[in-house]
Amino acid sequence: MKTKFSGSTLEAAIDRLPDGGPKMAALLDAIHQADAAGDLRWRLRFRWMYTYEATFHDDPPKAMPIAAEFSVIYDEHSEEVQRVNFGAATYMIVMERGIEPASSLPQIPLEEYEAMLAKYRDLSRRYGLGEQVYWWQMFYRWQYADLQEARKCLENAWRAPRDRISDCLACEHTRAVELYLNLGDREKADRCAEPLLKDRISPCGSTFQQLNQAYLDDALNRGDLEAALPYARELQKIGERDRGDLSFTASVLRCWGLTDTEQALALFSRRLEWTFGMWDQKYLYDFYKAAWVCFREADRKTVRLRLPEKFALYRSDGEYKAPELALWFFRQAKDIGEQFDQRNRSNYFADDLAKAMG
Amino acid sequence: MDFRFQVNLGGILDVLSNHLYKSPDVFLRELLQNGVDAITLRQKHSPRWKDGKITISLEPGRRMRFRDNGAGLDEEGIHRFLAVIGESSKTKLVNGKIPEDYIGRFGIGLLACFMVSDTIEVHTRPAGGAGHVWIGRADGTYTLEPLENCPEGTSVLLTAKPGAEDYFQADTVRELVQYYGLALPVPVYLSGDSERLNAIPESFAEVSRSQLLAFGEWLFGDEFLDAVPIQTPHVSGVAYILPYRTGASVKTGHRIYLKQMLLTEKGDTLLPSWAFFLRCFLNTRGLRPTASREDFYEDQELEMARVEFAKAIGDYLAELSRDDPERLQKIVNVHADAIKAMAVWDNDLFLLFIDYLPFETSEGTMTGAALKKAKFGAWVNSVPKFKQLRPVFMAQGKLLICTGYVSDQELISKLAHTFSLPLEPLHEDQMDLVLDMPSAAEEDAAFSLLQAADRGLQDFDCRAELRRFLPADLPTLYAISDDVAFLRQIQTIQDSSRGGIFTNALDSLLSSVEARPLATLYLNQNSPLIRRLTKTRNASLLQSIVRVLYVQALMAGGHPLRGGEMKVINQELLRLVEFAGGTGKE
Repeated sequence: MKTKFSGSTLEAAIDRLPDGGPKMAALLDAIHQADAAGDLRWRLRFRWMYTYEATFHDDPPKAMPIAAEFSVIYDEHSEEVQRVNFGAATYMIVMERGIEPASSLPQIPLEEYEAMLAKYRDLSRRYGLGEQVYWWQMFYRWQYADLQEARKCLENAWRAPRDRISDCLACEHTRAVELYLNLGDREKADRCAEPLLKDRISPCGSTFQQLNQAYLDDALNRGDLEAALPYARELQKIGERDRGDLSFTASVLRCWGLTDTEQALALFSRRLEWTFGMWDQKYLYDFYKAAWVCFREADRKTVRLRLPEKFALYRSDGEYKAPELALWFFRQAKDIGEQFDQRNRSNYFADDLAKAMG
Repeated sequence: MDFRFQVNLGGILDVLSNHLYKSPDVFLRELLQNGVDAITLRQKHSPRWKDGKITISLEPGRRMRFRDNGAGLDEEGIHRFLAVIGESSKTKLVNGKIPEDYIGRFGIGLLACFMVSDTIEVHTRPAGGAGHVWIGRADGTYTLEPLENCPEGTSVLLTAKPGAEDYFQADTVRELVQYYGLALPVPVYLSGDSERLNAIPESFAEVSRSQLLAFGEWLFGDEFLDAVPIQTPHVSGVAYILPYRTGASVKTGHRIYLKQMLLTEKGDTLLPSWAFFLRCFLNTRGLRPTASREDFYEDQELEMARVEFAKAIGDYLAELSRDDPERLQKIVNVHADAIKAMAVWDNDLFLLFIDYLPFETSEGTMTGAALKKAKFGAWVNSVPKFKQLRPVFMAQGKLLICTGYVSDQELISKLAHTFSLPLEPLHEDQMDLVLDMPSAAEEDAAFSLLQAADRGLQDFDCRAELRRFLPADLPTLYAISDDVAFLRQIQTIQDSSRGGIFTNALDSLLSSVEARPLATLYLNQNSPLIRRLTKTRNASLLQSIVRVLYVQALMAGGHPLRGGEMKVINQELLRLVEFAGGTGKE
């Protein structure tokens, strides 16, 4: 007997699931059920929830096809959507979640990426919403290409009016901290961090992770391991929750790789699985780069690891040669970096990899 | 040249009194706080004096007199503390810290009274000094006059603003005093009523379980499963175990006090994320409040308080497992989710609880203890996938564990690792576990079928393979890896819409995949239907049947159909009908 579709019952069941993969699998299932039932509200709501999960707890590019579906459904039912309480703000947020991953997908040519950004700007003007978000999107477009252009976008974003769909203020500040550290302006970075550290801006679920990562990466790039360690310890405590934390984990792994082989190997073995099937190339690059550092700096030639069979260099005896692993991860990171640089017409990743050369 | 900010005092008062706090009823909390601090100060000066009390007199709906018999203010103190925003008699630091026995520290609390009254009239006299009456108004002005016959201590007189009359009713005042000041060490009375409004046990550690439960029922209105007394350097009170199952997103109303004054009902900051099965009545010490006194400031002391609280709960449950396992099982039955979350976080708790915790498997619900005896098992991290594969595992008597629920994946993985159990994760592209290889002769016999199937399925990025599996009445099984699933999703949306904002980007993503991974349609050699098909030689007919079986397998697995696939099932069904109608047999 077929049971009647109940979106709210499904939503309550999904709420009980862990963030990331399990929740996304259940949401896909819920999307199919809502589609089959023809329930417009839940067709949109489950897609909205899916893009949130993908963006914040798993693999952000997975939001892209679902955002595309959301947009098709929204456009097809533009009159009805008002009735089911899905206004332009929701639409714009889902579009943002669909476009943002393009910054981490060098497979998408720059022209197509920029065309999406231009369309977002058109939508923003049409709905009178999201000018600030647009500038943050532009910031992402430049952040791995030209830091001075990224800085201009950040300034534009902060000049633009905040509205209903503006990003979390704490995230905006952490982004600024990261940018100014990358630009070598420590004083300005500290100034942007201050309201967060002094509780003047409410943090979100990832504020302190991002903040610790920014300072950790900066310390590692400067070769200041003493400064890096406290950030790494704190980040390990708070930044290893789900696949969406792969980049945080990578920063910690790089630090342990340089300071504590035992901890590094344990973290690597635990989280290598997160890279399988990951589309976000920046996440992968970060992890591969950190793994390269980890095996390059390992205090022994052969390491004993319990790794998943899916790993390309899997060995059933668990005995791996550290230099072989280092080389493999270096090549992976270098390939991805080159794709990014080629797409972005930049040397950002080549320079970044050079900083990790030690 | 230096300049000074110009301050609009009336505006500042409005901001502080009407916008800093979430609700007007905090005015009573601020009055209680000032009263208790004044009594604490007097006790400091006269250690033998123990008669401190607060009395509230009401002219119902109109006026309130809030009186404490603590240390009053002299004229200088009035100017300084009642009329300078940000100044507090309690901000004098001792060894660089605010003294532990004072509650307030911002010197702005009295302004909260402007939310319910346009004027604040204060009658105050210090020991051995003269009395004064201070009247402050919301426009930022105040007057100060001498006052004859003023008893030692301080009275605050408020007159109800229109709309605030309810705060001047006895029932409301009683409720608010019990809400904010239940844990205060100073007795609070309503004038003319001998019953103390805020009486609670002095130490919960000494109180019997039944008394604790009765107190919890009175306070929260629930008949709790159990009560856990908490007594640590930073936290003391009771954590009650809810009698019903609840989820992490449900925010239970706690009563969390700072130095015996209610600070918040939210446990997010102090309590661990798994504490959603508890409702707590806690007093904290040594923690810093935020400026609005509605939460704690994030610092090392708070972190220590969190650790102490978690340990206290863990210790109690450990004790229960030794002394009263039946009661523990009852708690686990109701709150498995929360206990699982704790067990992930703490290895001792994991070892303690794992035998009791339930997991969903292809053989029904099994506890950790039962799983320890399993000869082999696979786990899958998705509820829909578990539902799809359960019949296959059940038919073959193999164990499949669903780890798609919160904490289950971590726990099962930990269980397998800790006890070296033969439990492994199952990826859908590694289905050999439940699929047996057919014999070479069977492969040979199925050659035409497999060839036709591969040809029929090539438009769908799918290949066919022959396997043996149970149940025999399942002719096919569709297996797809996460990578293929994602590409399928992109293909689906590309089929249904062109010209959208994402179309070109998604095209690029698809074309960037050099060797396109394929999904697999397993044909079941055990199935009578598949066996019959291996004998069929009509390639076109075989292609039609395999395509129909493919779509049917997709639907059975809960996979959405792409536009092309919908068309396929219609076309192929028609072709089969025509075929059957034309010849009646092959």
